Amino acid sequence: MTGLSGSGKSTLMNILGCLDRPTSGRYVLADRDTSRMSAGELAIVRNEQIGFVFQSFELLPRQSALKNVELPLIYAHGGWGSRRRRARRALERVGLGDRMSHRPNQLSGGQKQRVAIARAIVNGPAILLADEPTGNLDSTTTEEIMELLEQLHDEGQTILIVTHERDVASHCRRVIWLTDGLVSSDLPSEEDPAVREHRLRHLAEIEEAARAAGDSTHLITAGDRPC
Amino acid sequence: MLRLLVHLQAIVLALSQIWANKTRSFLTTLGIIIGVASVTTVIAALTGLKTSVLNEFETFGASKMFIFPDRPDDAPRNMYPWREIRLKIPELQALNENCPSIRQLTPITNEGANLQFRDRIREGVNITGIWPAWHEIENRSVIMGRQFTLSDEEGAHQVCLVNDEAIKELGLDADPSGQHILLNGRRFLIVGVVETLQASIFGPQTTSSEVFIPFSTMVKLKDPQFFFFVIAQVVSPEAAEEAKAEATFVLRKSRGLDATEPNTFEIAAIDQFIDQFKAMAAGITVIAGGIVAISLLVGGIGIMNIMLVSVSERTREIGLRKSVGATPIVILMQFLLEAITLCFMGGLVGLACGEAFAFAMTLPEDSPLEEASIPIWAVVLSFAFSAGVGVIFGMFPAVKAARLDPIEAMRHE
Ligand SMILES: Nc1ncnc2c1ncn2[C@@H]1O[C@H](COP(=O)(O)OP(=O)(O)O)[C@@H](O)[C@H]1O
Ligand SMILES: [Mg+2]
Repeated sequence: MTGLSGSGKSTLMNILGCLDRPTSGRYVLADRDTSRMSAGELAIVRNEQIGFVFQSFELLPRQSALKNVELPLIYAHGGWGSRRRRARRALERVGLGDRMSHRPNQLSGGQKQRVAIARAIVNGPAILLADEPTGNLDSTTTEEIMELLEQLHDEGQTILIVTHERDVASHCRRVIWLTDGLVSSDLPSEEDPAVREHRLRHLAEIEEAARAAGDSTHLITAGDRPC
Repeated sequence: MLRLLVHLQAIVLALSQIWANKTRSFLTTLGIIIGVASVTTVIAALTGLKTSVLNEFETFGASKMFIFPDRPDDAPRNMYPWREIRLKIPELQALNENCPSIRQLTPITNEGANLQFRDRIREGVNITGIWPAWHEIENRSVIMGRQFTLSDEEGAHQVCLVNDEAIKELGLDADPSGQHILLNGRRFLIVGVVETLQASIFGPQTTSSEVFIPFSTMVKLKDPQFFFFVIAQVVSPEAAEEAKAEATFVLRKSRGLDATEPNTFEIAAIDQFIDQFKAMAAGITVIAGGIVAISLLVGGIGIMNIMLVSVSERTREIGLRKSVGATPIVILMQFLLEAITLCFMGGLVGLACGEAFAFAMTLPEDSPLEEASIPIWAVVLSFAFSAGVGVIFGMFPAVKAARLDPIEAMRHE
């Protein structure tokens, strides 16, 4: 999911992740209308079906990597007995089997984000949501994290990444372009990556030009839509 | 089951949180520590005092009764002058003869006098006029020599009894019976020795010289308007009410009081003193309760303040916990348990201080608070109150935390 800053990427993602509720309209997740759920019920949905990865990692500073990964299992049904083992397995899966007892301040940015990814997948979520997961990382580390996410994806994990970096978007099978809170383009995975790249650049250019010209009403005309 | 484990985890979390902010936690709970420590100390002291006072009453005798002149409550002074309402000798005789529930009685009257034996002089020694029944009623027998006889009393003989202390102070023989001493210049024959009364809460504060003479002899020495009171021994503790009624009847009759007039005397049984003391102790307990309520309130506000700080400091953490599935109830319980744990530990420390003070009170030799200890009910109540303060003052911050919007919370810096 990509688009210019302020186009509503985070908002949409928070709705998809049941952190936020739409002002109007409905969001049906796995046949359940989430707009009618209480805060407590939404918390349970997040716990069981959603895994979040944030731009600024959001690890608990005083807790070890292992404890951080255990966190969702503390609030999970039936997560207690096996939580240590499952947290370990998740950390091993993100390549931090040797850093389990390290605290966040003893880890590099990339390692912190790996811990966060381990935390997101530890309870086997249906969707992994990542809001600018590489926003605080340099390009090498970004590549490493994207490789990890791709691996997880190959193993069958559904992942939704919010990004405004085209390098990151190029790793994705499907790219959704948001404009002013609306989906303005949805480039499917079958598309030739080179063609898709070209179209994304084109989209960014016309929107930025329109923004520079002060026209905020009709950034995208029907004719500009690539799909 | 899950909930229980989550809350258990919350307590562990609370403890680590408190440990991580040791100084802050300690300062925060100081109000509760001081509150609990002071109230448990007061209660311990009171319990000790109560035990020793009741013991004292016990040895005092449960079947004793005091009869003395007393102006009716609220009555103007000139309406009941002392000289009219004071006990009189014929009343003493009437009481002695017409109260079947009173086994025996003795009038008591005191006078300070100068004592001389050879060249030794002691000034201001307490002289007590008694009947022989006094020994049995006060449980102070003659250890050497003899009691006063009927003829001593009827003839108002110049005889006296002394205690060990007087023997020491005047340099009398170890058995002074037969020796003479001067009492305000009059020659008195010593006929026996009375045990010295040990210092106690109700008796003399220190042991001192005492001299006893027959009541009738004292009457002759004193001003005709002199004051005395009566100690009576009831036939059995159960007969106290009856004895009181009888004595009241006798005195009202002798004073010619009609049905509308109030008593001009007071008859006090020992259980009445016990009741008065208990009421006083209860009063002090209530005051101590008030003190603890105020300090717990102050302590509670401290707790609320620090919990609000904690919620604000950990807003991001709360947001994260919510995003990974913590429900509002779980968050509420986490902060509530933290507040309760904090208060509970304050209560624990306060109680430990209270115990230490209570122990310190029992240490001094002859301490009237020898039996000072914190009763179980006070321990339970301290903890209940501390936990209660945690619940009440922790609730607002906890609700605040539980209501936080996860997105807003994670944006917090
Ligand atoms: N569909 C929408 N309708 C109305 N307002 C929206 C919509 N989507 C986003 N917004 C508003 O736009 C602002 C920026 O959204 P945000 O999700 O932070 O953008 P991004 O993450 O793409 O930078 C927010 O104030 C949000 O409330
Ligand atoms: Mg955003």
